[in-house]
Amino acid sequence: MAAAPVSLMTRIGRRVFTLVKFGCILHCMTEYVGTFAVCHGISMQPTLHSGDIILGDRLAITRRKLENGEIVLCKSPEDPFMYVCKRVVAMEGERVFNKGWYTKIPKGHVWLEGDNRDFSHDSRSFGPVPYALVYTKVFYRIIFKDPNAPDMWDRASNGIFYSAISLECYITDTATSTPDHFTLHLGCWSCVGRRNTLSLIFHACDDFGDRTPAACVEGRNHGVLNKGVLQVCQEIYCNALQLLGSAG
Amino acid sequence: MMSWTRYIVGTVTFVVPATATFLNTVGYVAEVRGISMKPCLNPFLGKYSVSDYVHLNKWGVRSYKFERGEIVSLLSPVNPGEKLIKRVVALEGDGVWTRNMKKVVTVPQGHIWVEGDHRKSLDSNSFGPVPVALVNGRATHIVWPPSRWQRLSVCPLSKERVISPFAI
Repeated sequence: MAAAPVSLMTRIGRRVFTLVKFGCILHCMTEYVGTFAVCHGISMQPTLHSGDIILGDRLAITRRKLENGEIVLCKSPEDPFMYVCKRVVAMEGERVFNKGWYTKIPKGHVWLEGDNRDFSHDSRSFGPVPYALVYTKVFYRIIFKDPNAPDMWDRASNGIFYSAISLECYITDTATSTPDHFTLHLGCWSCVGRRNTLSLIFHACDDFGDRTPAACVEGRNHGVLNKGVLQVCQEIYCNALQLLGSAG
Repeated sequence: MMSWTRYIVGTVTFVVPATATFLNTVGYVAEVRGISMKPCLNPFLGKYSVSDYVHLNKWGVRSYKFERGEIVSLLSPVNPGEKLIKRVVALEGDGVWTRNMKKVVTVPQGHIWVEGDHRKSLDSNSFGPVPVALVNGRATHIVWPPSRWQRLSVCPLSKERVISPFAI
């Protein structure tokens, strides 16, 4: 028996139906079972690097199987569009030492910190995070890039900046009176958020080609994205110079 | 026989995820429990055991932009897994007097101040400003019982409680 002829509209309809079906299944998978995400930023170094793919276990969160020391993906309490990836340091009822005194974690909250403590925007600045904001537990990481590759810092995350700007910098150390020459590479990217969030990471590049982060400055809610890119970079560059100066 | 099994499996694998996705992204109807939003919601709860059912619009909260006076549903910051229904009193940057008029709290960035209409309500007065990301729906209509069928109005608090930096 010959196959019945199928009209073009029917074929398009079937294709659309399949797409919708898989979209729904994907949504349910990410909402109830598990998800994956791509990391950006330096706050979880050396555990996670920019460009790493992480797999998240959503069931562990809904079943309350979270323990201290686990890495979680959490909605930022400051920006609802942004997810932050941090390590759980303390759960409700425990106490953490922060800024000179002990903070007791209130009921239903967790305390999150990044592994790269010097360049991490975490509970030490925004306080304990409600457990309901924790999205998934990170249980696996896939590395597609060599973490020591030099261009990893110059990646942009969401299309605000796609190129790194480097600025030559000469800092004179007044204590030893020897001028210190190095190039500051402005590897700049925004965090994953979409709303007025801009974080610029500066990397001192010395003769050995070492690209360790020198300063990390975040611009937020100051209308920074409406200004010119160069102007923002200059402003934040000045701030970073002050930071470098104060760090000695 | 095989084709029937296939038909049922195929239907279930489509209908279940599609329904869940629809309820998650577009909206659903939820029962309001408790007296915290009295007299706006559940006004007769003490007299009769009839609770209101409200339509929660989830599509409209994707942008996380709220007005003062809207009724929203949010995940409880104190008991994860519990859902609350409260009125947005102040937005980020506002100063707000606590209910007992003891002190002014400035709502931090990315947070809102939520309160129930009833004075016996567990709200921001006890747990502080909540992150906007906890909000998961906006209550737009009362859909059940039919006698209470109405659109929920946006009614901001009096000016003396909320100090808005953008107010004239």
